[in-house]
Amino acid sequence: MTARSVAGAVLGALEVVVLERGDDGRLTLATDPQEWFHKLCPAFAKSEESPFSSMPFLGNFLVDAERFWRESGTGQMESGPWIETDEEGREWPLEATALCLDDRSVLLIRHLGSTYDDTRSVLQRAREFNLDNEVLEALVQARTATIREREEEIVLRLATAAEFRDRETGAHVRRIGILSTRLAEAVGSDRGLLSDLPLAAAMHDIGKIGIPDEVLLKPGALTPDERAVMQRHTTIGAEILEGSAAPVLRLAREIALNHHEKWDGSGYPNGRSGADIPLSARMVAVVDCYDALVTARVYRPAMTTKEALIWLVSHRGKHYDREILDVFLTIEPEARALYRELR
Amino acid sequence: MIQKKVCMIGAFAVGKTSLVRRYVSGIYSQRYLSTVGVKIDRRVIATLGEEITVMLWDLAGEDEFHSLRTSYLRGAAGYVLVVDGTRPRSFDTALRLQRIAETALGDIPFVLALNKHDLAESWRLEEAAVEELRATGWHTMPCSAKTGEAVDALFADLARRMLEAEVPPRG
Repeated sequence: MTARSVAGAVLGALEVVVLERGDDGRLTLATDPQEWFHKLCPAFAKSEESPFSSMPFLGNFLVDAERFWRESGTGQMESGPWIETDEEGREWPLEATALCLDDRSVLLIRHLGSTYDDTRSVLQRAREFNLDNEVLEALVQARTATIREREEEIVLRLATAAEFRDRETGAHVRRIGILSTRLAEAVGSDRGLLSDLPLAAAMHDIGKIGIPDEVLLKPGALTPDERAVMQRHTTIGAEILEGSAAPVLRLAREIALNHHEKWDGSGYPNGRSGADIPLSARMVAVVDCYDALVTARVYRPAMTTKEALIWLVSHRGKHYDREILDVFLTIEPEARALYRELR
Repeated sequence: MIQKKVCMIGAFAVGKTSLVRRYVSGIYSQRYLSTVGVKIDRRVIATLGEEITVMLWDLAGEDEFHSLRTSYLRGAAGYVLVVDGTRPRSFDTALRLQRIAETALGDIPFVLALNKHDLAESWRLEEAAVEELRATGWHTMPCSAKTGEAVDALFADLARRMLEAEVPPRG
């Protein structure tokens, strides 16, 4: 057996057909014809003008192969696997390779046989594993959303309980949470803050739970001593929320402690001023005051929104951060719509 | 006879092969059999008074093991973007693939097939997101390879629009 015939026999055993591209661009068989090739490509055996018209995938690959043979000069290019179906309905997995061998342009077409099934089997298992992962991921997301909803409900009800003693309602707690978040969005806060602020802001007055009724519910003006007791709701709130690793509770503590601090340093409990007051608390301070002004109290009627805005603006740069207040004024029409909904 | 190439593209296991089998042979198999590479099927369809042969290129699904080869899209007159309505991630993949297809093929007709509509209780696509696409002119169609719902309709819609477009394919 000559080396050439051995090579031909090996290629036959591997079910590889070799074609060589002539100078005229026509492909001619360089190995013995194989039954499967002629079965799938009868036009080739008849030397027709478009020998691969029945194999559109191969025809498409030959467009790339022509470019490769023309421009590359070395190496190889693979078509990727494809399936041809013969007249009896049998499927043949094939793969083509364009080769440059010295100055010769060569096309190999290989029947992949069981290799294709093995590849498919491996890929199938990997994809089934990925599908299972997707299902589990969706389940975790759904459960996480449910837990988050429950957390929100618990926090809102607890915050409402604290406010309830002060004759406030759950609507107040929700308004502060929603409006503070809207303000934070308009200010350009990051996603983490936007995610935690609805709950954290709602807990701003949770310390009121520790203020005695005679001070909290006193209808008239407070004495200096009573005012000092009342102001303790900020530190009580901070103590209640102290020591948690949960970002939402850490933010809630920051707001509870600082939401009565004032830009000019005249606030309480620590007399912090300017940018030393956390941004979250500066935003909640504006929203909380607006809410208090436009909501009726037992000791005074509600201001109109116009009156409330005049009051807020008159304290711009004194009680409130100028920039935060200016942004609030741009979203205030949205606040009015919210108040109609959550009165 | 007019011949049109249509590519089936989408994430893995969204039902591209099942839609083709349902459309070409009228059969459906519950068993998921992963596609490796490309398989081409044909069906003759009558639309706008013409008979056209739709050549369906069923391309292996997109995942970390296989990405779409744009050379497979060459010459397509239309494409079907397939989404599994129970898997939101397949929707994101379809949006990404659409951008790739549009870059390769230009503005040619396509349909967003929202497959597995028979699994209504597990449906997880956001209607607003689909509505947004519709508003920008996308043709979207809830369908089911399993029940056959809207399968003929989606290919008929695409065939009609391909014939109406009749622009020379690019790519």
